[in-house]
Amino acid sequence: MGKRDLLHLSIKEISEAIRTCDVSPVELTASVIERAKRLNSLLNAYISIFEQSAIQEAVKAEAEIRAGRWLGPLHGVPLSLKDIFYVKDTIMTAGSPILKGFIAKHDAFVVRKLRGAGAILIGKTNLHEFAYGVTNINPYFGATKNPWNPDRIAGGSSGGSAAAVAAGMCFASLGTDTGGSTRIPAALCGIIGFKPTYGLVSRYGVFPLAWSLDHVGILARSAWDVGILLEAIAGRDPADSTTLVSKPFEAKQIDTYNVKRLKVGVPSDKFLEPLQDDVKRLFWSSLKKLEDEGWQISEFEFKYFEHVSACRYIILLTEAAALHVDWLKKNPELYSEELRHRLMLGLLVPPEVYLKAQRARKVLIREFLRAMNDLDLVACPTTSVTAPRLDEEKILVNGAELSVRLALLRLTEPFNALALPAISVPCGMSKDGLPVGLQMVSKPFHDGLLLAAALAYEEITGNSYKTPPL
Amino acid sequence: MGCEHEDLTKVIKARLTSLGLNLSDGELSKLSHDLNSVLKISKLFDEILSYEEEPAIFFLLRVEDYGEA
Repeated sequence: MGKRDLLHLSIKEISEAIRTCDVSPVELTASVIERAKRLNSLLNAYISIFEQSAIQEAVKAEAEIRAGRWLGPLHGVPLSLKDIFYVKDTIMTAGSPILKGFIAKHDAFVVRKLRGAGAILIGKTNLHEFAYGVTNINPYFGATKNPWNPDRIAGGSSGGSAAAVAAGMCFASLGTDTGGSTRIPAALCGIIGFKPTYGLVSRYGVFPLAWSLDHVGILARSAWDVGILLEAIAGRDPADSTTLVSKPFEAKQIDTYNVKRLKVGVPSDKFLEPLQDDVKRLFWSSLKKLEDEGWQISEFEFKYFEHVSACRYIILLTEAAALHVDWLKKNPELYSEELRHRLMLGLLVPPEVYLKAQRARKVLIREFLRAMNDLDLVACPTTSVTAPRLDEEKILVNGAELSVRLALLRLTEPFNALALPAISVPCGMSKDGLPVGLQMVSKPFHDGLLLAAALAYEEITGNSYKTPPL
Repeated sequence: MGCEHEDLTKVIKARLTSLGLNLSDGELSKLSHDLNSVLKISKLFDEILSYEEEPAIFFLLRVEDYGEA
């Protein structure tokens, strides 16, 4: 197997080769760094690469493995992190010049967990300014380009992570997801993007966007890899009071689910439309394959998607503005015009409107779970369109003109307000060679079932990670 | 409507000036338009909260809300 092919393996595959000492973590890390540096001039996926420390970590991992102290499937595997996670003694930008010179004094909870599992931290990936947007067109660090077509966006806000995983510049990455920021770029770049149930993974040491909507997300090449990473990072953290579960997630749970006759609800056209023709065709053709294998597909009736999206929008506006108000007063010129406008709008939302949104959210979660009672999953396309061009602001979707933001966000954002686990999996390629994503959602804390379903989906449909032509 | 728009613009200007934020007329007008949209969509919550079977509790996720995982 060539070096290039090696860099596109799943964690499941590469970790076995590392465990048996067929692959050296030091050589592997050096290859990943070399490729990341070379492709970064084209894709702009990384903001910083930890060349020296990554090699040191790899040397340590290799010595441990050779001495028979293999820690598990992440040991010696090169991973990246969105540049919004604290990594001790390194610069963190959150995609903004406001944090210029900021050096984290400690590791984020999840970074500590990854280190404990023996992972190699390759570097920090590019993102939308303060993670507040879905294109990854960053006025300060440049736009991240799509590995399938560099004239197209990678999506965001974890776009650098998605491009890096797709292009063989790391084996997986951690991102964040406040309205779709992990699932959207994963769909546009042809990989898997997963956001767990709210409360399953600590956000301590992750720069916030909106406290009650933020999730840590996982970007990887297979559902198995997501499970391994989730096992490493999930669990109770006293430093994040929203972490609810003391019982850690175990990847082996995934094998215990019977996924032969899953009941899947598909929202009505009122929520799904408008969709690009290719997106619609590939989505329904994947569902047909699942149905042929015994999955039970039915229409999912829930009449409040618009209300849920309204909740998320208002909560996001208000919480983000509260977070940024002091910086906005001191250095308004250090924000892009677009973000400054959104933050000022958030400062104007009356408190009673914010509180009503949070109260309504509780009712909407209850209503959604009632509607989902007899179902295992809800499925829909991840985005309405494939990756837009870098210069597009509006996009025509089956006769309807949508902003790029709305075309990318509208099918993912409800599940942040609803706090549900959601995953985007590859769903084939459009006629012009761009990836399409399919989103599946399960009930709270049914993350294991969701990953089991994603694995079965991959086997049944044959839709899986493919290597972009770079 | 024109009068309401002017009133809203005045309120926005007062609020942001109190925070030390100064805006151009163009920015004020866009904010006024967008704030109107926010207030309009927030009326959706009245529809949700008006037929509650029980008083809604402020959002706080608890495992018990969902039973066994």
